[in-house]
Parts: sequence; C-alpha cells; structure tokens
Amino acid sequence: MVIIENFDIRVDKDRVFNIIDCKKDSPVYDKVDNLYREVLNKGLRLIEPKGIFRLEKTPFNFSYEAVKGYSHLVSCLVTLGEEVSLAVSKDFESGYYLEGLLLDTISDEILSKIGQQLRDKVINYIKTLDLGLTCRMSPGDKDIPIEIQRDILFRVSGKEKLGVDITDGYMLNPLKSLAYFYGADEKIQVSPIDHDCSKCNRIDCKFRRDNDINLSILTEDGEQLIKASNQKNILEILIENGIKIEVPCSGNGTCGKCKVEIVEGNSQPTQNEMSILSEDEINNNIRLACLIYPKENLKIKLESLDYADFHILSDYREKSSVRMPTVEVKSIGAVKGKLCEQRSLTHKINEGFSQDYEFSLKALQKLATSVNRDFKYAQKFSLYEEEEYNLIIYKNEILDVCKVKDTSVFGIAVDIGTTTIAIALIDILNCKTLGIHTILNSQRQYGADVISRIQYSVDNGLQALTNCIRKDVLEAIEKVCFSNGVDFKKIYNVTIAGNTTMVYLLLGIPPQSLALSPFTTTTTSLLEYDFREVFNDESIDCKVNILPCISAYIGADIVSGMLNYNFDDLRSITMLIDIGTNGEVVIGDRDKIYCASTAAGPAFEGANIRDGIGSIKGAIYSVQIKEEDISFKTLGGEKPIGICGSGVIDLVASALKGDIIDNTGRFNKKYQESPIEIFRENDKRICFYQKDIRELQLAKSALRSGIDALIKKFDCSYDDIETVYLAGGFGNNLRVESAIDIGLLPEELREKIKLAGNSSLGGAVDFLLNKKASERINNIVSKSVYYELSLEADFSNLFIENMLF
Amino acid sequence: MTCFNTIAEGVIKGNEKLVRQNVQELIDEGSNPLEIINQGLMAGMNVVGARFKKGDMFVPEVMMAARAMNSGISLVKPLINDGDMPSVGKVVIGTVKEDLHDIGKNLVAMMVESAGFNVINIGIDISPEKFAEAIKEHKPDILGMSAMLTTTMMQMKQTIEYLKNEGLRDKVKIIIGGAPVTQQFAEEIGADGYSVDASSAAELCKKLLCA
Ligand code: B12
Ligand code: SF4
Ligand code: FES
Repeated sequence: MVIIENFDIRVDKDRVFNIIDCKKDSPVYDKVDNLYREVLNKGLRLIEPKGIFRLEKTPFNFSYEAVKGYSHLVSCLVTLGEEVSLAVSKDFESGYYLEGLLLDTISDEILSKIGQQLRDKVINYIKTLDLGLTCRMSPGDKDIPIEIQRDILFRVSGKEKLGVDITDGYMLNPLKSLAYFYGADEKIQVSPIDHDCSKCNRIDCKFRRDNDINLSILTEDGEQLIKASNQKNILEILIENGIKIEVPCSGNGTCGKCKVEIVEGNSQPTQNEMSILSEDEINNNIRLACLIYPKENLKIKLESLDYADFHILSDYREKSSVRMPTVEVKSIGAVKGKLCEQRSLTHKINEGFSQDYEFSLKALQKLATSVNRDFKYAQKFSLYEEEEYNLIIYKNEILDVCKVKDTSVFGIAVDIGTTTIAIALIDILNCKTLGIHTILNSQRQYGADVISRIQYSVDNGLQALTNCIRKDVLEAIEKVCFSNGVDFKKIYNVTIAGNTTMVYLLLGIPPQSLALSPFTTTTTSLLEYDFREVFNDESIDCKVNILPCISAYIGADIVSGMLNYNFDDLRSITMLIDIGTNGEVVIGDRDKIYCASTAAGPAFEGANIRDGIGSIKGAIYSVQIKEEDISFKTLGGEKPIGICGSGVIDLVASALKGDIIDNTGRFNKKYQESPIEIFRENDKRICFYQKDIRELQLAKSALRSGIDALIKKFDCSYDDIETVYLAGGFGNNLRVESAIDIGLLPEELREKIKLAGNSSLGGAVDFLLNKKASERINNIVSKSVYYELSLEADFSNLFIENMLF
Repeated sequence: MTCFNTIAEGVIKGNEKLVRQNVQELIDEGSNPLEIINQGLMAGMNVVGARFKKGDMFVPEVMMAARAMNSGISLVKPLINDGDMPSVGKVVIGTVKEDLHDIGKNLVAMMVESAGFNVINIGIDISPEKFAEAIKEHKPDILGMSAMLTTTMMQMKQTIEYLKNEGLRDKVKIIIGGAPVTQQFAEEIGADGYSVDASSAAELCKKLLCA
C-alpha cells in the first residue's frame, strides 16, 4: 500500500475558465480573472490532497468480472478532504456564487490532476515488477457499477488511511474524492491513455479530456509531436511546450508576428488573419499561431527565427567568477556524528556547524521526521531512513530540509522595465541560467512612460497598477518554471530590479512624489519581504529582495547594472549609460560614483516618432541612404512595421552624410515638401518626417549634455575614461558608429564603448548567486552621488549647443 | 435623477456598486421600495434570465448579475414588511439522501431565486423525512430534488412515496434534476417536472405555478 501526499499541484487556468463558461470575450472576463488568483490561493490553502494505491493479486471475489482477466488489481483512491466543499457551500450561501463556482471547479481540476499523478506513481511502481497497466476503470462509468466504490475503499483501507467514508448510496464522503482501479499484468503494455472519455456518451461534457489533438511541429531541429487540448490556440500550446516564437503583441492577434505554416491539416483563416497577412501568405497556408484553435490534427512549420544579427533584450553578462549563492545547501551527513543524544536537534545542528541558525517552521516539521518513526502515514515525507539529508540555508535561517536526491535550489531574477519585464530562472546550486522569459509590461494600458503611470495612479489609485505588475511577474514566473519543469516549492529566493517607479508600483507605495520636484523618495534601501506580502500570493514561499535605488530617477535597474559591471570595485574610470526615455548616466572610479538622469523623452524608444515603434521584431533598426536609394534591415528580418530608436539614429546619421539633413536638423529642399519614404507596400508607408528629427534632436541633446556635464563634474577628460557600457534593450541594436556620427555619444569614446545587454537583469542574477552581493550593492549605493544636472549653471547652454549635429 | 432603468442596467452588467448606489439614491428620494424591486432589480434580472436561456449570457455573468441584484434587495428589504416581500412563489430545494453533490443544485437555487422565487436551500444528504419536515415548516409551492448518481437517484422515488404516505404529496409540485436524471425517469416516479439545466429550471417553476 502506498500513500502519497506530495503532489505537484498546478491548475490549468484555461480549462477552468472553459468549464465555467468564461470565454476571453466575456464582458466579465477581467473580473473573473482578478478573482481567480484569490480563489486559487484559497483553494490551495483548503485542500489536503492525498492519494493511495494498492497492488495485489486480483482477488477472486472482486465484483467487476472484467478485471479477472488480469493477474493483478490496482485500487486507487484520491481525495482533497472536505474543507474545500464546505467552503464552496458557504460561498453559495452568502451569495458569493462566482467565488463558489470557481473554487469548486478549481478543486475538481486539482482532484483530476492528482488522479493522473497517482497513476504516474503506480506506473513507476509496477514497472519495477515488469507489469503493464490497463486504462482507468471508474465505478459509475458505463457498465462499471458504482457500487464498486465500496470495494475499492475497502481494499485501500481508505477510511483508516485517508479518512474517506462512503454513504449507503455509494457516494464517497468527502465529495471531492475519486475511486478507480486498473488491471495490471505481464502480458500487457502500459496503456498510453489513462481516463478514457472517448467511450463516454456525454458528448458535450465540458470536462471531457479526449478532445485532444496531435500537433506535429517542424523546426530546424526536426519534428516534435505534442498532444494538446483543442481548447487552446497554437501559440499557447507552443509556449506550454517551451517552443520559442516571437509574440510582440502577446498573442493579441494584432501584430501579425507569430506566423506558422500549416503543412498538413486544415485551418480556415480568421477575419483578423485575412486583414493582417498578405494574400500570398494566406494562399501559402501561413497563419497566426495565436489565432488558430486547432480542431483536428495539424502539422505546422515554424519559421526559423533569425537571432544571429541582434541580441534580444534579455541577454546579460554572466560572470564566471567564483560564486557563493545566497541560498546554500549543507549536508547533515557532515555533522551527523556529532548529533549525539540529549539536547535538541536544532541545538545539535548548530553545534555541529558552529552556527546560530534559526529554523523555519517548515524545516522543523521536516527535521522532526528524522527522529520520529511512523507518522500516521508511513509514506509521508520522512527522513527517518535517510543516512544523510540536506539543509537549505538562507542567511541565518534554515528554510527547508530535503532528502539528498530531492535537493534542488532555484531562484528567480526579475527586471521590471517600463515597457518590458524580463525574468530569469536560475539553478542556484549549479549557478546556471535555465531559462529567460520576457513579456511586455501590461501596465502599458495605463500609459507608455513612467510619468503617465504615476498620473494614472494619482487619478485612479494604485491598485490597478500594482495588481497588474504582480500578475505579470507571477505569470512570467509560472511560464518560465512550467517550461523548465521546476516546482514552485523549490524556489528559495526572488530578486527584483527595476526603475524606482516600477518598484514602488509593485510594492504598492504611492509614487506621486517621484514625479514632483524635489522628487522625494519614500525609500531607496535594499528591501527584503516575504513573497506572500509582495505578491499577495502564496504559491511561492520565500523571501523577495528588492534591490536598492539611488534617487527617483536612478533606480534599482541602474544600481543592479552597476553590480553587474562591478562598480564597487572599479580600477579605472568607467561609465554606464542606459539609453531610454530617461537616459541614465553613471561614471565612477575606485572612490566615487556620480549619477545623473536626463529627460531624453521617448524618441529613443520610437514613441514620439511618427512611424516609430519599440525594439520588437519587424522594427527597422538600421537604415542606409545612398543617393536616392534607401536600404534597411529589420529585427528578425521581418516585414517592416515601423522604425525603432536605433533605426532613427542610423537614418539621421546616413542622411547627414548625404547632406539630406543640414547640421541644424533641416531637411534639404527636396524633402521639405514630402518626408523620407523608407518603405512602401500597397497602402502601408513608413516615413521619416521633419518633426521626427526635432524630437531626436531634443533627446540626443539631453543625453549628450548629461554625459558631458557629468564627466565635467567628475573632473576628468574623455581620455581618462577606460570603458563605457551601453545598457538597456535599445543599447544592443544601436549602431555605435551612427550614435557617434549624430553626436549622441562623444567621438573620443568611440573605441571604448561596449554593449552591456540587460545589465539590470544580469545584476539581479549576480545578486542571487553571490552572498556578498548585498554588501557590494550597498557599497555601490553609498559611494554614489546623484546630480540634478538641469540645475547646473551652464547646462542650458550645453543643451542648446548639442541640439546641432 | 436615478431611474429604474439604470438599476436594471446595473443588474444586467453585474455592477454591484452601481446598483447599490442607485438603489440607495432612489430610497433617499423616497421611491416605493416595491417598485425598486419590481421595476428595477427584477426587471434587470428578467432580462438576464432570458439572455442566459438564449445563450447570449453565460454562467459567470449571470452570477455577477444575481449578486448585484441580491445586494440591491438587501438595501430595500428592511423597508418592506415581511409579508409584503414580492415573491412569485416559494421553493424548497435539496440534494437527496446519501448524495453530497451540491454545485448543480446551488446553481438551480440561484437561478430560481433570481427569477423572483423565495428559495430555501436545505442542503445535501436530505432524507425523505427531512424533506417532509421542510414541507411542513416552510409550506413551499414547489419542492426540488437533485441527485448526481444513479444509485442516489432512487432516493427521489422513495421521497415521493414517503410524501404520499404522509399525505404531503399533493401540497407541493415536485421537480427533479441532476446528471443521471431524465424526463422519462421523472414521469416514472411521479414527479411534476424535470429540467436539464438551471435556466430551464426557473422557467419550469414559473410554468408549474401558472398551471
Ligand atoms: C465534476 C464531476 C465530479 C466532481 C465533483 C462534482 C462536484 N460538482 O462537486 C468529482 C471529480 C469529485 C466527481 C467524482 C465522482 N464522480 Co462525478 N462527475 C462530475 C461531472 C463531470 C460534472 C458534474 C458537475 O459538477 N456539473 C456541473 C453542474 C453545474 O451541473 P449539474 O450538477 O449536472 O447540475 C445541473 C443540472 O443537472 C440541473 N440540476 C441539478 N440538480 C437539479 C435539481 C433540480 C430540481 C432541477 C430542476 C435541475 C437540477 O441543473 C444544474 C445546473 O445547470 C459529471 C458528469 C456530467 N457531465 O454531468 C460526473 C458524474 C456525476 N460523476 C460520476 C461519477 C461516477 C463519479 C465518481 C463515482 C467517479 C469515481 N469513480 O471516482 C466520483 C464519485 C465522487 C464521490 N464523492 O463519490 C458519474 C455518475 C454516473 C452514475 N452512474 O451515477 C457522472 C454522471 C459522470 C459519468 N461517468 O457519467 N465527479
Ligand atoms: S466525458 Fe465527462 S462525464 Fe464522460 S467520462 Fe469524460 S469527464 Fe466523465
Ligand atoms: S502574437 Fe501578435 S499576432 Fe499573434
């Protein structure tokens, strides 16, 4: 008899929504969506998932004849306990219908998931005995009498072991329970399917699981077969299976970027596809992954992504230096000899390691099993038989205790940018990045830049913004963990960097004062809170570190970048420049660090450029003008959709060379009437206008003046500077030559400029992997001085001067 | 000036805040509480019921609408004498003995209540004796029974027999439902009605009381 209590509980949200009839286009979708997480957490608190199975020679008196054809019988029982059903009834009684229905559906899903997992355990077990397994047989299905529930309950001693009873009507109590059985025999294989809805005649049952389709995916690496639900679109299926595809509009069906080719099978183009894709593409069976809900087996081909000529936003520098992760693992084997009788276990452990550790309650409960033989259930987590086991330690606290074979430690690094959020999943034990996930910050709906978000919070309160960012980060964490098969329980630390406003919004700290002179901050310190508190979510139980910032406009993203480039330990004068809506400039040496922020405006992010766009696929990022001829390149080699900041800079540089623009920024006569046309296809034109140059001039001058003023303040010359790191998503697509040509960066620094990637995310990763990082980062902050350059006497002269090219 | 329409709209949209606000306004202006219910709240909910039936609205929206309506009613209720509360009829509903399913029954209760009935949900695992007691105590027009298993379904038959013996059968109309239940089964055991889902259950109740 095997009892299992540690199930991996994951709920398929889409399935739940589907079952309760809440479609994406439902007018209440957002409200239900907001409720969902709350109810899920409540559910996770209330359930007590348990499962049990028993393998035995098929008993001669078992009342279901068909099983007698197999040598063995496997009886199974799973339950969630009764708390959750009580809570559902209570919700309904108090008029919280929706909450009740959600909770009920979520728990049904969990029950069904743990039923599947119990089968996995059964299979592992019977395989060692060389037995095969039939598909699931459930009392109450077709010709299997429901009365057999009682047989099963009896065979697994369900009442004694799991507290499950049965009514005279053969109904299991608690309600959220399932009883089923399998035949097992040497003569058969393990059945590829478990629960078999295909034989059930309830065709429109929303719980059906057999409407799966086979999806075959062709990529450069070959063919991959996936079983998927026909309720999902291809994009969701790809993401779930960890297959990369570009989704600039996050699957909204508007950007037209998630193209796939249907090689076999049918898919009628939707209205959206007809309007976004060209006729050729439609005829060649090109479709948009986020819009296809496959109803039959499909074979699709993914267009190969051309990453070669540009870096994606989430690249960062990984250091090879020695690492001392913030979360450590110590083996209890090492001190076991010293664990002599008397005194408490914790005392002995502390003595063994000559430490003064504190113990989390979870750790204590687990530790206790090493000296307590039988709990109520023998198979519950127990260290009793273990020779050796591991302690998971964070700072001065023993967070958790694990069996040696189950020991893994993961951390999450997060960079919250105004436009994008990047998340890295780190295997802390092996100092490895397992996966990176980048999503668009969905706060965009409340405004493109920091100021407009702050304004929104003033007008409408913080809550929406805070919820939004929490949800984004949670979902990104879910995705990256899910696609790497990492259990939330194994996440022991989360480190977050981001600009000051984003950090405040995440924490629910009112940000108004950040936008108003004198730009007062509420806190700039390195913070540590429980995950639960920060995210209002209990799915992960660990500490969250929020990296410190310096001022309202030099945020944790910059500080984190400084950590990534070792600004605490500089040997020579180094600069870090982050080109974005607020261009941040940092210069430092061994003794001091000066920082400034320049209000460049959104031109570099393509925002106030008429045909501008952010650095996403299809953005024109490089332009050459030779006489009448204009050539360009787009990110990912896609059909152009707009011009991004680096493209604008490139274009202007080229136009300056060709005398199309003079050094005051005026178009020469020929273009005065009509703009420069970069691309034209049918009605779609991408052009560059006189007004765009003016926007660029303002942005360029602000940043350049900042650079120069800060260097002056630092009292050094260009020659003294050893390296300049260019950070930010934009930094990596930028052609440095052009930036110098238009005077954005000083000619004198040409040889010294290096692209830094997403140094903010890189710094957060460093923080996870280095115990000393908190000391180092505080050191950086205390060395740093912030200058409000616009207050400097000659800044406006500088600014006017730098407006010229 | 708030009018009943705004309240009805609020119910249809499931906007609890809006409904409460407007109901309160009307109360403060001295409107007739019964009119607030009939021409505002119930009027809205009737639209919801009809749309749900037609498949233009789905369960989550209906639930939010029902919540908004109930919230509005809770404001008006104290102003109305107990006996004057408008009610199309009284329904007692429960899941039969040995059966613990309640989500389907709860949905039915919610819909029937939203249709203007006074619903008393007596819970799960209800024996024939308890059903009989409930009839004596609440004197409902309709008794609803729910069962999800073929085995527990037979309890419906036994309950009806019991009620006959107690002389209570003719005091109520009986309706039944649940996954294994069919129209045919309903006729076999002498129930007055059966319905597949919650929206038709509300209609069924209305129909039975008109007849
Ligand atoms: C979800 C589900 C479960 C859930 C729990 C259900 C819950 N809500 O808490 C779980 C996973 C726990 C479960 C377990 C089991 N289930 Co089950 N389950 C279902 C399923 C798929 C949906 C039920 C449901 O919740 N529907 C949603 C609600 C809203 O709908 P509803 O309850 O049907 O109610 C609507 C109507 O019926 C009607 N209605 C209901 N009551 C009333 C009353 C009146 C007066 C009126 C007018 C109308 C009415 O209106 C409602 C609203 O629209 C059904 C199959 C199906 N598609 O119906 C099987 C089903 C009910 N289960 C079944 C079985 C066999 C079991 C198990 C025995 C399986 C097993 N071997 O483990 C166990 C037993 C559990 C136990 N404790 O003993 C069988 C019963 C068959 C039979 N021979 O009796 C069904 C029919 C599936 C099948 N195989 O055909 N189950
Ligand atoms: S179709 Fe529904 S009722 Fe039938 S076996 Fe599948 S889940 Fe159960
Ligand atoms: S992801 Fe943008 S159209 Fe599919």
